[in-house]
Amino acid sequence: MSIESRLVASLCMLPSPPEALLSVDRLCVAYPLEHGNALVVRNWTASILRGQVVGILGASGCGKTTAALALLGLLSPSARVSGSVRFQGVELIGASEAVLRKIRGAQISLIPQEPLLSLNPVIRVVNQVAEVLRAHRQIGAAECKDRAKSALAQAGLTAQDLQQAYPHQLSGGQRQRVLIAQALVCGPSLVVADEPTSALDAVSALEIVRVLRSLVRTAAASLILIAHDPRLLKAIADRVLVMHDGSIVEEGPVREVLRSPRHPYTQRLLRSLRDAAERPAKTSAAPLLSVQGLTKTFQRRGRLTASGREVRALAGVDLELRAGQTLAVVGPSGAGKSTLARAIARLDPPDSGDVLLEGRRPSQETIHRRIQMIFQDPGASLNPRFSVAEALAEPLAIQRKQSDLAAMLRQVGLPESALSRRTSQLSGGQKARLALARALTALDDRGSPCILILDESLASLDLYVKAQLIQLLSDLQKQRSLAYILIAHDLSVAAHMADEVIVLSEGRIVERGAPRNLLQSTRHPHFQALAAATLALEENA
Amino acid sequence: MLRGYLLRRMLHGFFLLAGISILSFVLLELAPGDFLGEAKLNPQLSPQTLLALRERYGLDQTLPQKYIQWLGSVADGSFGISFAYNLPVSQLLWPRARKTLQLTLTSLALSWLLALPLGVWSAAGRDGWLDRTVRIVTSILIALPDLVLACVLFFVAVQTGRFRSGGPALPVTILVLAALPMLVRHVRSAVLDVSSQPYVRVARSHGIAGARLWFRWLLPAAANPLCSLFGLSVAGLISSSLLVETVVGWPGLGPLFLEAIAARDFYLVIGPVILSATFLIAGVLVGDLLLYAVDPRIRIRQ
Amino acid sequence: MKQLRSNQRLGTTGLICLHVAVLGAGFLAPYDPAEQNRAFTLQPPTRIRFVDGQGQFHALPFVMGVDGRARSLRFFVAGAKYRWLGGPSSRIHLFGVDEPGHIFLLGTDEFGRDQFSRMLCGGQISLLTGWLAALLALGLGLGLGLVAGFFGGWRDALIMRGAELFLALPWLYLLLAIRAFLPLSLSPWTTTLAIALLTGIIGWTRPARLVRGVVMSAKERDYVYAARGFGASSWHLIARHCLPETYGVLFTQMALLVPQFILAEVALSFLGLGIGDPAVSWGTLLAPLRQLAIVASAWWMLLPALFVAATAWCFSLLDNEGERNGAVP
Repeated sequence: MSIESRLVASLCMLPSPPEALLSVDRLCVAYPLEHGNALVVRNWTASILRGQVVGILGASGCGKTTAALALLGLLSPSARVSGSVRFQGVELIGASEAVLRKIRGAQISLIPQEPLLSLNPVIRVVNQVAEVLRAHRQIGAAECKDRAKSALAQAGLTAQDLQQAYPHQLSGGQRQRVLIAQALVCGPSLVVADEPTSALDAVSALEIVRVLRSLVRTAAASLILIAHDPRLLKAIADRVLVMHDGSIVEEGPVREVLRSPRHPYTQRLLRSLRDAAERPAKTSAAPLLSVQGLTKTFQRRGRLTASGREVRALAGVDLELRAGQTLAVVGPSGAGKSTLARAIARLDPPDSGDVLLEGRRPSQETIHRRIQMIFQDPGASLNPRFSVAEALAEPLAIQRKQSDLAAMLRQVGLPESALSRRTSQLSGGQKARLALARALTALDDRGSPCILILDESLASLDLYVKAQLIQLLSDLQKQRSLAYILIAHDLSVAAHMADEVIVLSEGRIVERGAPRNLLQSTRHPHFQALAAATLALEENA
Repeated sequence: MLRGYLLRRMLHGFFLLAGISILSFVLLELAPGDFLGEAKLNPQLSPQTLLALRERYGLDQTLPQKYIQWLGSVADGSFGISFAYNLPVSQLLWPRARKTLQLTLTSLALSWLLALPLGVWSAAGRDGWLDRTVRIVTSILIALPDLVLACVLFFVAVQTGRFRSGGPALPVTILVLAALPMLVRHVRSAVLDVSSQPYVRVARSHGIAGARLWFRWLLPAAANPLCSLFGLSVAGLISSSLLVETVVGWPGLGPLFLEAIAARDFYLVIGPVILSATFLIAGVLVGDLLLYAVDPRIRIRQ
Repeated sequence: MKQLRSNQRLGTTGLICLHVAVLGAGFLAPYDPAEQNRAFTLQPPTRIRFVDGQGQFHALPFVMGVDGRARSLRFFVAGAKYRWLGGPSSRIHLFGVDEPGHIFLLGTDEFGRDQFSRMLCGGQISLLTGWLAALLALGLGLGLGLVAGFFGGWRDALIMRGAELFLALPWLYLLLAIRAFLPLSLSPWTTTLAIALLTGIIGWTRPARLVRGVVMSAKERDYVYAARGFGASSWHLIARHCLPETYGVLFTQMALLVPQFILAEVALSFLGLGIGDPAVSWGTLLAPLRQLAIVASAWWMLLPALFVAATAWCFSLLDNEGERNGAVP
């Protein structure tokens, strides 16, 4: 079929043409609440043709995963599903377990999120792939294992010892490949990939997505790719459906939708990516923070043996930071970024080296008032039993200060009414703001410049909220001339926010410079890959 | 790796046993009333025997010396002497220990062999008729104290004329009924905990279901807490067996222990204490080895 | 009461009734527990009738005396002297029958003592021991668990090594071994206290381990690190962030430990190493069941065991985790 006729068929709301592999008609999923129902998926209507790659784009919580699970009848029994989903002529909604069991994994398969949590921790990965085959085909054990091995190899996991490994011994990207092998081993006609790269860094993400595309093409199957990052969809999808609050608000060929979106929500979503904060020129003043020769070694004890392994987390790190400046620290996982952050904030004191504040070694109390850290998962840094007021007042009580709680909340864009709510009731973005407000409360407000360390704090937020938080942070920086140390593995955030970027690898600084310069002309191999991937994802953005 | 682990645990066990024995000897010193004083000795012992005993066990020496003499007796296998029976303790202990082991090992095997499938089926058919029945019956049995269970079953056996003195059927039944409900509950709970993990839904999404899902996929993942439970179940069984042996009249370690306490027969008191600790430590070790075999996360962490 | 589930309400009600009955044992029991009636050894429970030999219905229940004459049940009779909780004394009992009639609701033992009275009075010692021991064990466990979990290091190692020593022995063997070193016969109150103390001291390990586990994971939470970043002292961290996490564990442990320690006392007395004559506890009530002859002929001697079971059952109803308790230390 030509592109034009595909366009016409997909935009048309009439009954789908006979070659449609999957046709969904007014799918609704509701969960009963105390009063009324919570409608998670509203009137979803779409059709997927053979060999197509369809992307589903939307912010987190908009119902994408729920819709995918509804297709396979995997929702909890309390969910109420209505509408029609026809797969190769067979109606899936309300079908018996026996029918669904045959379809799952063999004809429609799901690649789930969270690779570590989606694999059985006590079974070797090759056996996990083989089990899927054994559940569907009457083949002997040995042959199942052989086919499993070749499926893993096709997904990119070729080494024998990797195939025989257990999930926790593999990296995130390798686990994702296992999930892909599991999904494709029975040769399904439709693959649903639910955010396959959200837990990965940019290099692995691009690779995974490319592997997926080639495998699906070889198998002549269709692919539904669910993501919240439009750059991924641009890489491999033919069509895209934009979801907001349970319903499809826009659909069409991917390049068209991403270049000139029509729905206001899509426009907002895409614009948030392009906004870059303005970087005013910095005057060269004396450094606020000066770190010299920081080292830290960990003793890793085996659980059952007495011998330990020495891990050198930091091996001599120097850096400088000025008031009003943002420094980004990037590097592969395990490079020592978090250790560096905790060493500067003196949560885990370094073995040797100096951390000087305005040229002097600060006392414990000074550190508490001038340097604060915001953790990777802002929600986890708030005690769920506390109310917002109690969480905000805690540093005040410890440091014996007074402050206006409502004003603190307003500063970060939270309403005063939030004071009486439990911290566990806030959304992800609100928790991040609260953690920020609390850190600001602890900092000295008598005018001395302070330092805020953000340890991958923005990574767990979705694009939309992330953009808002970045704006808030840069506003605060201008107001209070705060200095930020930003630890990130998402280079685009670093590129937008930082004045200077440091690349950390195995405890050492291997490169430093202004972000744009580094992106163009870096020499460090990992950073090169990272930079290339980021640029590739951002082309034409 | 495994050998090193095994050796370390056994060494650890020896230290524990040594600690327990030392503590027992120390308590003896603090105890009011005479344990090793001559007034407590069997008045039928001849003066020569008394002299020999005093020399052999250092009865009039200091505490550390008494302990070392006792260690010597452990080394040559006699474990001290029973003043009431005028026999080496080991001669009294081993036959009794065999009888107790007979009971405890049978009950241990039976209760686990029954608990695993019952727990898994109960979890698999959650809220179905099997699950509900299992939950009600285990709730009732768990609440029933072991002692009461033993008395009631003994009573029933005697009244219906089924009681055969010296037969193992009644004590094993009591022990299994005492241990089984808790095991079933824990197996069920462990399996249910695992069944809410994401990888189980993923397995279902691949079409894995039924017995394959529950026994091949879920049970191994749930094995971790169950292996720790194994050691605890051994501990519970040993304590329960003391009560059951007393009620039913089974000639095991329990009644011997009680006799020794009442008679203030010191070395005969220490013997069962050390022996029961050994059984328990061995049971916990087996549990840990099972864990090592079943959970790769423990293995690999070395 | 409203927040509790139905089985918890049932359990709480049962326990309240039980404790009230035991506290008022002297009043509720028709006879003195130590009073022996040599003429009435091993009597089955007295039958309470409403219809007499002539077929006449009496509104007030009565019993048949040995002389064939009916004697009505009377309320608020004068009987043996007793003390309310060791304080003021009284002679009024809730119910009784005139001499020479007898009302042995649960029969008598081999010395002619009324089992019903003995059961009520025996509950005082058994319950008291259980509660005292549980409070002691929980207090010790909480303190040691907090220290071990929060501070770690040598304190943790020391406390855990100590716990291992206690746990290396099966609990009954441990209890008996320590009991063995105390004098065999002590006065009843001393024995009660001693048993409570013993059981409590050896029972600290499980609560301590659970508290330690809770504290260790609580202390690794990000919000504790954040509070450290504000300059919080250890005391603040323990009190504000760790301690509230332990409340759930403490409550569940309480509901588990009290019945366990009651049963420990019962086991000890049953084996002859707990409370001795003339005092009475539930364990001494069960002790005659060790004799085959009694089990074969006097079925009513089993009834106190069912009462103990009912008590344990009420405690188990309090367990609000129901089927999800995986409380493995």
